[in-house]
Parts: sequence; C-alpha cells; structure tokens
Amino acid sequence: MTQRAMQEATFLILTALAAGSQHGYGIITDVAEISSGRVRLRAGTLYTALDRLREGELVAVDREEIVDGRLRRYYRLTPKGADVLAAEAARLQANVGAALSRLKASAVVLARPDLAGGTA
Amino acid sequence: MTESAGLERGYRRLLGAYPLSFRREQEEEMLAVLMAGASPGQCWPGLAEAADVIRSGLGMRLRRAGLPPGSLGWADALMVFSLAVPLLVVAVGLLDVALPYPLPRVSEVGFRDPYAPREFGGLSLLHVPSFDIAVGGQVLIAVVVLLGLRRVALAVVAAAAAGFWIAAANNAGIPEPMWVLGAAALPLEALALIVVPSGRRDRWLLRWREGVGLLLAAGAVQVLTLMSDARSPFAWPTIVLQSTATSAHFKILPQPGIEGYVAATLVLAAAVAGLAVTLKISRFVLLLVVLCYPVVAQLVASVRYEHADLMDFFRAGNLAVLWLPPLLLLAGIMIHAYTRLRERVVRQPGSA
Repeated sequence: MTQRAMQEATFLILTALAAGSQHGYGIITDVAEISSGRVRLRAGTLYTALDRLREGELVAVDREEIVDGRLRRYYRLTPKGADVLAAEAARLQANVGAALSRLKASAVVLARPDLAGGTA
Repeated sequence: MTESAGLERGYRRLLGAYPLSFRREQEEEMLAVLMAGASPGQCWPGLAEAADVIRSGLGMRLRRAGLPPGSLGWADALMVFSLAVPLLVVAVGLLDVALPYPLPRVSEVGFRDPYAPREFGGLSLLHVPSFDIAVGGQVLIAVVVLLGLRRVALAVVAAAAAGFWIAAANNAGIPEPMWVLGAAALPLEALALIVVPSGRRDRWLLRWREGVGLLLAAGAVQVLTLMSDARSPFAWPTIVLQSTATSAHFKILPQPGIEGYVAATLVLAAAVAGLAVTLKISRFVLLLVVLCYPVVAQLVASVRYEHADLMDFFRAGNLAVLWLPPLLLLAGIMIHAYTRLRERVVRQPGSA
C-alpha cells in the first residue's frame, strides 16, 4: 500500500468489515449506516473496490452461503487490512485533531459552535 | 415474480460489461446484491445503477487487460516467455516447411539464372542439416523446459547455441529470418531461464490466449519473410509504398523499401497490440515483439543497404543494432520482475 490517502468508500468498506465478516449487500447497508446515510455505495463501485482490496490482500473471502437460492459471499478483513485501516484512521485522526484545535484557537466565528467545542 | 425475472434479466445483461474471468466467479453473487438493492415492484434496472455497473465492468476489463496493474505479472510473462521462445522458433520453422511459395519462372523475371531456387521453403528444408539442428534443438529445449528442468534447459541452450553457430557457419541453408530468429532466441531464452523461479507453472500459464499471440508472432515473421523477397507475390505492399530498385541481385524487379517495412510492421504491431489488450496478453506479446525485433531489423537492413547482413559478427555497430535494444528491454523487465518476486517471497515466506 502506498502513502496515498485512501478513498472514502474504501475506508468505509474496511470499517464495515472491521466488526466482522459481511456479504456484499450487508456492506452496502452498513456503510450507509456508518456514514449516516451520506455514502450510498452502488454494486459496481463496491465490487471494483472489493476486487482491488482482495488483490492487495486487505480483504479475503470468509465463506459462502446460499440464501433464498442466491449466492452470498462473505468477506473479512485480513490482518494486513486491519493494519492499513488502523494506520489510515490514525492519519485521519491526526488531521482532525489539527483542524479542530486550530479552529478553536482561530478568531473566525463558527456557524456551528458544536464542532469546535466538546472534547476534541 | 415475472417482474423480478425481467429485472434479473436486465441486470444479467448489464453484467456482460464485466470480463468473463470476473463473471465466472462473481456474477451470481453480484446479481444477488443488485436484486437485494432493488425496490419492491421494480422491473427494470435504474439508470444510475446501470451506468455504475457498466462503468465498473468496463473499468475492470481495462484493469485486467494487463494495463496497470495487470493480471499477468512480469515474472509470469517471463516464465511463459521461456517456453514460448523455443515454440515460436519451431512454429516459424514448421511454417517455412508447410507453406513454401513457388518462385516465378525465368521468363517472368526477365533474366536467366540456372542456379536460382525454384521455391522458397518447403520439404527440401528438411534435408538441410543446419535447419534440422536449429529446429530440433528448440524442440528439445521446449521439452526440457516443460519438464521443469531449468538447469538442464540452460545446458541444452548452450549446446544448441554452439551447434547452431557451427552448423550455420558451414552451411548457408537456413532461410534468413529463421537464422536471425534462431540466433536471437538462444540468448533471450538463456536470460529468461536464469531469472524465472524454478517450478512448473509455465504449462498452466500458457493458455489459448498466449497460443494465439504465439501464432500471430510466428505469422508476422512469415509475412516479413515473404515481403522481403521482391519475387514473392506477397511483396506488393512494400513495393507499392516504395518502389526504388536498390538490390544488386534483382534490379529488374522493384524492391521493397525501408518505408514499406516500417509501415507494414506498424500495421502488424497495431493489430497485435489491439489483440493483446483485448485478450489480456499485453506483457507476453511485448516479450514476443522483443523476440521478433532482430528479424525486423535484419530485413530492414538487407533492403536499405543492398544485402547488408547484420549477422556479420565483426562489426560492433551491426551487433548493437541487432541485440542492444531487446537485450536492454529484457534486462530491465527481468530486474523489475526479480525485485517484485523477492518482495513477494519476503512477505509470504510460506506460500511463495
């Protein structure tokens, strides 16, 4: 994996799998939930991302099931995938921390004071 | 139920945008996801959903077509190459034997030469010892490589090289492109054998697609051979493109010129490259082009400089034109493949 920032969809897919293995449609609904409905993955985008993640060995096939006559393939996060996700989360967290602390110190009046307050 | 059957049919049609290798493994799975995401009573894929499936499918086709990052890595391509080199030389040799073309009679050419050959290629080649050694040596190399005996293969390559040079030096019976190709094949084969990891994967890697590439390359060599002889009925594209008589041997007939070869080679290269992308064999085909490069260089030179022979060993410039570009390219590819392989071995000590 390079040092390049991860795409949001990829980040959310890995996050969805961090809690346990899931099948394709499960990932889509979970990603929508994690992002509060903001990111609605389409099937094509999901499988392109999964293909890349499998190639990079960040994600692996866990098991297969037949439900209502349809094939469900479950994916799980690999140890390498967990490492990459943790590194990306740490990177994002550092950015978020820097942004919030500077906003707090800045003279600009925020339209949403709730973002600058709190425990960040 | 009929609604969902129509929807399923629609989605299946859209999934046709994906490459076969993907569909074989994941079509049913992705179909299930698409069906699960459809709203109740929906009987036709949504526009945005359809666009996403088509865009992703075509994107995956491009990605798996050997464009970066390809499905067939350099190490795999080199492994196929080590088997393809002898197969290509044998294929060209067999084409020479199987597809002779009769040369025009004396009256048609306009001058008398009682010693001129009656045909180019044909069964008579089998009576030429150097031809038999060249083709037979490559058959032996192919068998040893197939058995996975790489060290033995290297020894056979060395022996075949020695035999080939001795036979060729004492006998001018090998057709020229075959002679250049044979000389090109042995060092390239040796280099590929040195770098590829041991194992017997070539057999499984060499699928029908690579076979198509191999046959196309052998055909390209054959086409270049036929075009190189102005007496051949196949020489017209090069003659039409450039009709200056430069050969000391056949002044009566217009000779093909260098521009003709360049144009014809570009057309061939474009056709092969197009097929390579469609059939996902771009890296492999690039290596085949490397193998065929000396043939093209020799043919261009023989037309440009009145039968100049680039195989003349005592001219450093000739050798550089013949061997330097392919050897440099191959060396670069091998260093790249070797470092990638070592990375893979370090990362997965057990499975590599």
